Amino acid sequence: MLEITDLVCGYGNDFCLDKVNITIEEGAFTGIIGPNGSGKSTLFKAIASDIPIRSGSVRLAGKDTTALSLKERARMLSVVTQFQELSPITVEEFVLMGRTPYRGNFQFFNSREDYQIVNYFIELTGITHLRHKRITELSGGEQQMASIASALAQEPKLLLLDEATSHLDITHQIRIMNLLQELNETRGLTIAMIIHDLSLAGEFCSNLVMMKKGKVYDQGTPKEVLTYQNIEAVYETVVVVNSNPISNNPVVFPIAKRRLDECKRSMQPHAEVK
Amino acid sequence: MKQLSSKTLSALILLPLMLLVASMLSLSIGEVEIPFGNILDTLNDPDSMEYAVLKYIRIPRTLLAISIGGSLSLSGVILQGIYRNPLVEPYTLGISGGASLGITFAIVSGLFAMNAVALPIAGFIGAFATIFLVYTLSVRKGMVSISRMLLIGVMISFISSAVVMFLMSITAVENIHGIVFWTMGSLNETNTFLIYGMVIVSLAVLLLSYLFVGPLNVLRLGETKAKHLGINTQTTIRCLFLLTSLLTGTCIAVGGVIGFVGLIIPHVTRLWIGTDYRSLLFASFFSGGIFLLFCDIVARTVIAPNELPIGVITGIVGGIAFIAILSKSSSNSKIM
Repeated sequence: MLEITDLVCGYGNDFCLDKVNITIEEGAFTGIIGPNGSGKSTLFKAIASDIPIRSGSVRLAGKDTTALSLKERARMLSVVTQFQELSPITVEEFVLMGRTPYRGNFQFFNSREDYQIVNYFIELTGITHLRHKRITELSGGEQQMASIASALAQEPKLLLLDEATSHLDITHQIRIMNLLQELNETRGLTIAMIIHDLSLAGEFCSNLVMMKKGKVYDQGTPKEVLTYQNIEAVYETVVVVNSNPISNNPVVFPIAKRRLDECKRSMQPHAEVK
Repeated sequence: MKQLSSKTLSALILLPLMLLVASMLSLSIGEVEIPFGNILDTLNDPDSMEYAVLKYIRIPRTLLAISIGGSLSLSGVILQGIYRNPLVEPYTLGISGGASLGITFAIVSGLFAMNAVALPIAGFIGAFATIFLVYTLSVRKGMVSISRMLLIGVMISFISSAVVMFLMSITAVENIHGIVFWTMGSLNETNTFLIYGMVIVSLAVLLLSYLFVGPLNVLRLGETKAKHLGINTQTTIRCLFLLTSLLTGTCIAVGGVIGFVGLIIPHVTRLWIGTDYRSLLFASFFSGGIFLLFCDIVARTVIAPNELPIGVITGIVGGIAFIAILSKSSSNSKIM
């Protein structure tokens, strides 16, 4: 679905992305992880053509993104960001915006089909009760659900989510992740999301791309990528990785520095005895 | 499945009615009173003095008030849509200043004396140069900084008025009177070419602006989002800049500097019918026309037989209305 080859991007003289190679198969649910400033958002901006590509290529469904028209691209790709500019329009109007790439240049009114699609996704995302409320009046979690409904109304082949759940409580985070997983499995929607919560990524994503300083550090299944060695190397933080007793997926546990020091100290005498 | 809200429908019916009433008032009030009922009869009686008053004074003036008010308000609403900021309008962005400079240059250099078309063209060039300058200077790393833009707009206004004064100080005395008269803003235009040109330009731009109504609606979610939804934001913004420069340049060439219409009217209209540009564009145009008609009636009646500059009225009425509306609406509700 998405092939990124030797991608180089950057602002000014800094390279934010340095020869990045990523392939996302059709039907994958990929999590992009890495510390702040590792180039995750830049990667998404390059995929969405928000920033120019210096060298390398981004191919979407076999076509170079620079060769696609804006409309063609908008029909294949939709992007959900963490925060976005809001206008006091109703949830229904907001979701209808997702139909823009399918509307003619001089079409003033929405078609019956637009309404059917919008109704479907409003119900699917569970925001039917909010449809006539203004999006500026919604909570963060509800706004994000509306953003996802709008992105889905775009009927994309690839959905990009840039930290779409980072600022939400655990209820909304898991509700959104469940919805994405369902869309991925039942509708075959290809999803790539930037996510900071490693345990959440491990539980829901089918594969992970780990980035460090503008380069891909590792990619593979959550079990392959989420090892304590990888996390220590990329995040420069010591953690414990264990598996979830129900799903058997990797879970990352933080450790307080005090505990770590205590642990090191208690291990010291043993070393001397030996 | 509602396509048009009840507010839009009410605006569709109410605004033309209000415009009709305001026009009738504008035609009947003045030194020579022509009662409402007699307006039609008078028009069929070419020999009467009232006929001459209507034909040569009041009808042109009424048409001018409607088209200038509508145009300024339309420019305001379009610019606010592009920048997603309610403080933006031709006056605050310095576009009026740039247009004034162009027009003063046309008067001083004698271009206007050669052909009246020079005036709107010079206004358009001045307006477009300013809008382009303000936009390119305020964009940094692809982001428009609103505070930078407003400051640059204010600075360009200052520079333009300084250059206008410079031009006035070096020009012949007979030009100065014309420039001063015109900078105060007045609807007392006698050149029929300019009057009908203004009417045609305003109606044409209103129609043309509807080509961009879809993009303007999507731009409410920001430029990046609009691009992700397949809108060619660059082309849209450039075309809209051209249209607003054309409108503002022509308005200023014909009516002088009339401030705040483009700020207040779109604001009030938005509070009334919402932010959907499909109804906002025509509603702003109509409301602007009605507003300026009333301002003009006030301007020529309060100190009759003398006349107040209309810019004075729009400044006072508009400013007070703006503060009143702002303090009434809850501070945290976004209006754009």
